[in-house]
Amino acid sequence: MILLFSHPALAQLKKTFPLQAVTLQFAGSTGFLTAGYSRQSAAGKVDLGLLYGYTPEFAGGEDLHTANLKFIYQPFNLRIAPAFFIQPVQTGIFISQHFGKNLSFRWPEKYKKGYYWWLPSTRLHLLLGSQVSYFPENKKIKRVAFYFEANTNDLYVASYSANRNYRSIPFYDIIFFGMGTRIYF
Amino acid sequence: MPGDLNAINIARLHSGEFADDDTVTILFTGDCQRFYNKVEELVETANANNNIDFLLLAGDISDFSLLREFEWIYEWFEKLQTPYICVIGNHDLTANGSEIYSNMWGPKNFSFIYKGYKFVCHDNNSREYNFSGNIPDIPWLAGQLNDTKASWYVAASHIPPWDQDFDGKLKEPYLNLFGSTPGFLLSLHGHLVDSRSMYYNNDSVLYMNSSGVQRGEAIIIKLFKGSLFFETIKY
Repeated sequence: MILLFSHPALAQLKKTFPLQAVTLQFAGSTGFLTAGYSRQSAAGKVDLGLLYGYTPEFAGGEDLHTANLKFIYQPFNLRIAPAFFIQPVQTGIFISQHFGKNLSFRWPEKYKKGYYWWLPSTRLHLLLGSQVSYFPENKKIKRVAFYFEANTNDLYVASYSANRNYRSIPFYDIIFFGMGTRIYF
Repeated sequence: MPGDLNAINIARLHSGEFADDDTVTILFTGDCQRFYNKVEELVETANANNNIDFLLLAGDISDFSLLREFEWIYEWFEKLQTPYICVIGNHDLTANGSEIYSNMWGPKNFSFIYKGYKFVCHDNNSREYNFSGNIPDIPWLAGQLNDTKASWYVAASHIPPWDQDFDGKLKEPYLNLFGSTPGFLLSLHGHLVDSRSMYYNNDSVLYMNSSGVQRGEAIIIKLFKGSLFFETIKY
């Protein structure tokens, strides 16, 4: 463990991403409830996170566990008051690896290569969101943020884009929403 | 989530409000997966024709077995003036598709009699079941094809028996069962983007494959006193 944390790549990661945060999110395709840890670049524009999501049966049809790797780029930091600032645009991608009873990591050998081009358990998502942050007068917590996020994934984009009229399925049907909080420390 | 869609549509068909004549007219196609603009055109085409008794889709409602895909097709097909019957395809059987199809459409093997014709709809997506030797379910089919209430038989399933995704071990018993059943007229399939109809097994059963929604193709099949007429249409 010590060896792992002293690995030069990790040291470099800590140097490039010196800030850290914990996240709690509701919905948004990473899980019904998602908890995670992320690190931010010094200027706060890039956020790289690892999140675990849980979806109970009533919300997902079956118990689902999901590991998510999330990359967010937020180009604008706008201070709107001494203790508040907003990041009006958060854009990025996340990869979700689902663990469910019928979601295989790879297609079985009964299929020849390329029979199905996608993987049932692994989704690539695009996200767009906004975040508002508050600086508390607390030395341990640097800032508390709330965010709202929309996303879609590879299979929904493939479904939507197959329709040349872009009308036969409504665009809002392929957009999914989530909201959460990030605590920076 | 809607449920029992096939049973509900069969009940609507039996209500007798559709094409009240002695000819059974089916609008037959397959593989609507992802091609929602063509599905929209299919629905318009079906609604412009007053003679259709029902629409029959030979599988692949969805492409990725996503719940939302099944819902999209349900929403479009609910706009049809006629009942619609959907058989299960291989693309409906990945991930949790099997459960979604069962919850929304009902059993994967089902049959109904309409105007003397028995329609035997079944799951024959053998590859999805590792070529287990049980799909298609030959004993179930044999039981269905011995019905005193039916004069003629029409089968509907996704995989044409000449395709590699059909269980090779079952090909001969399947073809022989159909061929040896008195009054067996027609076996309908999708899966392949290939428009084809042929007497495949040198008996009186016509095997028909629709190249499906992707190509904007459907086949109007007319059944009249055991005779069969068909016409391919484009939309």
